[in-house]
Amino acid sequence: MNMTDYLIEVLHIGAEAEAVEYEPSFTYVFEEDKGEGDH
Amino acid sequence: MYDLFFETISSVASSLKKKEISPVELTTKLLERIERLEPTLNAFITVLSDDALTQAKLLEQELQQGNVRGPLHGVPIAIKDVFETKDRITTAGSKIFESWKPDKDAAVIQCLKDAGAIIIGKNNLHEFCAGSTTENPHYGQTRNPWDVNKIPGGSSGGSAVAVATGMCFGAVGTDTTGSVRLPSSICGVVGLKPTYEVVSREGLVPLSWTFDHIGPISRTVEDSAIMLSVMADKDKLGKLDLNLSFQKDSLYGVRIGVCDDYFFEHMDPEMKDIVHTAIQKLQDLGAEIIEINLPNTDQALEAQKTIAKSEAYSFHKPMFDKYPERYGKDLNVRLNSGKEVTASEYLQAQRFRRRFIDNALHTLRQCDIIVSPTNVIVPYDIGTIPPEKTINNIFNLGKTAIASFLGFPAITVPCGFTRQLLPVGMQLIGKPYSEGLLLEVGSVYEKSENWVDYLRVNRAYEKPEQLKG
Repeated sequence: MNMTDYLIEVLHIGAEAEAVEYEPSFTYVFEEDKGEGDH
Repeated sequence: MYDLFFETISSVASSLKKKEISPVELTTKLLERIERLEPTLNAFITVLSDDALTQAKLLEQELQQGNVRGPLHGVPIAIKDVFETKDRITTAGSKIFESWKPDKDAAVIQCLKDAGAIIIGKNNLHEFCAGSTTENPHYGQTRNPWDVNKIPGGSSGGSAVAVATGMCFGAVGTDTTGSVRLPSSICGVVGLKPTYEVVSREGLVPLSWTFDHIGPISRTVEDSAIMLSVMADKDKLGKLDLNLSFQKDSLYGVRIGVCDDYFFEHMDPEMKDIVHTAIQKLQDLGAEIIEINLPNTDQALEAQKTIAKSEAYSFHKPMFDKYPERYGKDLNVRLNSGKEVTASEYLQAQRFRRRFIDNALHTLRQCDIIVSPTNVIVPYDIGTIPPEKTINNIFNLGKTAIASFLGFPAITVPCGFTRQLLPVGMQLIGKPYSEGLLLEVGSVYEKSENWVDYLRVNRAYEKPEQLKG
């Protein structure tokens, strides 16, 4: 089962469980390598 | 000296293709070895014996039909028990997840299977990856194969021990502050933390998601390159320049920066001499050594602690607030400290991080790579570190945190041993996506010294009578 279902069914953690799967939208990403001349 | 258990991935994969050994035969031998060594070392939480043998039979049939999935076809690999595995318990080293069976494999595990790897077991770790000793209150202590009364480092301690003792041909760990590199250096093997997000975190139980990296642990640099080529996101692979021949024997044209101020402070003198000797070797091999300065490292480490404890608490909040007694003592200290971080403190830490990264990129115009020690003090005796010191352990044991804070790639390679025959690692840190260069430099150094041979002759863990307590 997925983690949220496990928390709800086994650990009886209810609505709060949704927060466990949450990942913030600002996650730091190295999409652009700030290369030479970009400093 | 030939020893099957200590063969490289490339050599054992070649033997499998030539049918000199079969996947079933190889897997059976490793399972027997694991059964023999586990009572002393405790490197695994779950040994997937049945799954591994079933997979080995399937891969054997495919080989007989001339089908080779990839460079790991038939090669037994271990994984830290923090990656989701379909229908197989994934504990994350915790009591909370002691019975959790995910409904899918983590992305990196699927990549390994697609390349033909046999997942032989799931390694012990520091609970929820949140520590560097692998003293796990729920699944027991993993022991250092060079001195079984010492910690092996962590949090990927079980993975590093399994590789160092020939219980698998490579392992996959996670590195948030150094959890691949530190246990690798303490156990005398190679550990690679790739650039942030080069390996997908999908299906990884997080610790601190803006620092969490996934990387290979292996006995040779070339084996790490093979594993990374399989593990990396396909859209990132092209940036990494992994088409390496591993035939180079000199470092002419490579500029290597040394930053004494931070990386060598608070270091054991004997270990410092060993790393300086290794740096001299890099110079002898043709590299240009340049003194560099990396300012504000103290602030960077404080910002890192602020971000890491805040993110860890935010993930664990629903479980920790309801069941704190199901967490170990050191996790209680760590997660409670995460409650105290304010939003503005967290955001300021991330703002500082951005500036620190910019400065580091500026510094890396002077050189191609930064060299430093990985582990800097003799590993602790088991059971000697109180829970309230857990957050600082990794900062005291090694100099791995800065590369995680930066998100830049970093590799540790063995560079010698203390008089007590405890391994010392040398760390190479590069610019984003410079994994190819790090691997090439690490390989040239590795071939010049052959520290890997020590793994074959280490018998410290073969003497369980030395165990104290």
